[in-house]
Amino acid sequence: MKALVKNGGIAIYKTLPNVWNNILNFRKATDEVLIENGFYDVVRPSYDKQTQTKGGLYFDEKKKIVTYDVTDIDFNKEVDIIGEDGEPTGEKEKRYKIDDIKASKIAEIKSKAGKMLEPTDWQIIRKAERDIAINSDVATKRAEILAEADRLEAEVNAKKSYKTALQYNVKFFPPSEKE
Amino acid sequence: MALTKVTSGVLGDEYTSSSSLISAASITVDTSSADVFTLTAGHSATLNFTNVIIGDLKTLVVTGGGSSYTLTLGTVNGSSATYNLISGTYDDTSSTKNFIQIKFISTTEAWYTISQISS
Repeated sequence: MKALVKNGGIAIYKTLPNVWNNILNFRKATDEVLIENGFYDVVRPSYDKQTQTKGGLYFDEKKKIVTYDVTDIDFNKEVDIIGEDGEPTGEKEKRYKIDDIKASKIAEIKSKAGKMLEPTDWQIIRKAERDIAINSDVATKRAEILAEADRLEAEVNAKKSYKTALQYNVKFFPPSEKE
Repeated sequence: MALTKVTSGVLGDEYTSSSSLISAASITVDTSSADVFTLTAGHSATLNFTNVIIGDLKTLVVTGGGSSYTLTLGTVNGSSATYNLISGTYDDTSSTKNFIQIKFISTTEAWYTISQISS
């Protein structure tokens, strides 16, 4: 994809025109010719959607490309607290609350643990209702899941910033790192 | 009194001749020298037209070079000009013939069409 940079404005061209400035076959012109005529590559930057936002297009004069502005989200941003009357109370609070994101991650952990336990829940019910013993391998596996959930929950609670908590990937029994 | 007929025999080269252009980055097309100009693209080239007079209608047969060459319609009599494409698309595919007819409605403006052989 190319973009035309002209008079401070940027116009995206999904396909180049066949004729431009009396140049025939312009669509297949060399990059040198395209740049002479103000057409530059559009580069889509990679960015972390969780912690960054993609802004508007701009022309990078140094790299000779048109790309998007990427901005880190300010997780320390404070906003006015709005009162019941709809007016600011004069107090401020964090826009992104670490407790909220931790609660969200912990809920995710519990949900995933619940799904992993669910196939063997019937044995727990059977034990409660009819006092039939839980299979030992099932008991072991369930204990492992619960211990893993506790471990993940502790990891989440240990996070000290909104960003690191947000980036925490809830994954049960991750493969051990190679030594 | 017998009518005097103008026959092709008395017409100048600009109406009766064909000229083979040599591929280069910049090519001078002397419109007074021929009516038909042929060119096989070996470069991205700019065609600069000279000796143009109002009303000239010239034919360019440009054979594609197959390397994504461009063809730029450049100056007319040494000055910049406006070229209005009526229809057609230039095709640089190797051996493809592009039939470009260009009509100079002034020495600063021309209208043109591009056609290829029907397949």
